Amino acid sequence: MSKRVLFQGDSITDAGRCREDFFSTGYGYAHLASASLTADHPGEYECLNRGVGGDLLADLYHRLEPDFLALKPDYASIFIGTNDAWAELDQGRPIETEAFEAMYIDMLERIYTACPGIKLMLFGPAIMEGKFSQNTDQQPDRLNQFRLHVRSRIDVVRRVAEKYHLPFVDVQEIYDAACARAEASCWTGDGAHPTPAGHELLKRAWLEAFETIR
Amino acid sequence: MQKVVLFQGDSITDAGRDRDNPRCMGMGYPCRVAGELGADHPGEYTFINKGISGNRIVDIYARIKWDFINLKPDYASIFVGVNDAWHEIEWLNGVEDDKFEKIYGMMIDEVQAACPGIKLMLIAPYVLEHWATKATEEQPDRWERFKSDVAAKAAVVKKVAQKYDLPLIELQPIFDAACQQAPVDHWTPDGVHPSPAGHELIKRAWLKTFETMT
Repeated sequence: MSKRVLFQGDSITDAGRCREDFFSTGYGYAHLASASLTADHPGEYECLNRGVGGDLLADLYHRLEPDFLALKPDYASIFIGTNDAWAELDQGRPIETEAFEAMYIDMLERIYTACPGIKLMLFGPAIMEGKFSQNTDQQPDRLNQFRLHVRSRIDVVRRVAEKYHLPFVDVQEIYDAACARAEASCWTGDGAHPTPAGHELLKRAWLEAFETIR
Repeated sequence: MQKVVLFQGDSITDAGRDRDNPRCMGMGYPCRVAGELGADHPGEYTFINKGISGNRIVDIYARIKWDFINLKPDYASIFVGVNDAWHEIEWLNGVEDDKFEKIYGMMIDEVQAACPGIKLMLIAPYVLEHWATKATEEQPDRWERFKSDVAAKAAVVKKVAQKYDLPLIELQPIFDAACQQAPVDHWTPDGVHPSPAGHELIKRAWLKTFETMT
């Protein structure tokens, strides 16, 4: 009986997957990681991607039943929060992390209740410099502000991961290290979405974290 | 100056890419190669996927300028042959071995003349017994034909590779070995197209071969 692995998140996870195809994993890190996993361990794992582009934590929370709990995964990674920071920034709202943290914890409690024994890993949100995040005439401090809003979410996800003793993948740290090696355009097309090389970095981090829980 | 790496082939290379987005790599082995090489050598390579579903050698030859020479690739892999056999079995619209060899050779001659210094890699086709290739009531010898006709095309690709002294990937032994490890449908959903795990096998062979060319 193969174990079921779920990739859950926003557009970075979604990555163009075919919604009509139950097993489509898109072209992003979920695809890369599941291909590597299933090639190395044939028959041991079945991988599902249920990332949805544009999702905030609240959107994921609202589709938790069909897109998570009903699938009864044995393993799942959750990569959410970038759009929360983005929406907040563009709507001019102050950083609101308390509700985010409460909802994140409530989501995990629902998951543990419905899927006892599930093994989870959490990805922190992240941003790079690109057209969606760069400074503009109207917003000369946009990138910095964007990073602050994202940072507040990273801290929440890290805290939640510690509370539940879960592996935490600091995507922002991975992006920052990559952008120190080569310009941001190697890793992202627009600041939010990774290039194939960027997805490869996420894949490697995913596989490394998965090794600690499998 | 970035080196241009071109993936040329049929549906296995195409792998659902968005034809309107020139940077789209699809969901197959090209997107993984682009990810891995892009992550390990950021900024060194530009990747172009021009695989088109259903293509035979005559179709690729027909677009040799627009989709090959005019792109001025520094490296290119060519993966063609299964449709040349399949379309004959299905619709009497395939390409015979001697014609396949002749056009393959013409293509290489013209590419090498137009792109001096180009480094080419040839990928020989493979086929596995599954629903698209197995025996049917109307064609009880369907699988036998698939097996021998694709093997004949693979033998031609090998011959061409030897003639031009080009690196060659022979996928049939790789997939045959994989099928000893896990059932055929783990590696292909239909006998022709690879599953994500199958694409992973092609990617690994591609990268190993590419190392010998750089």
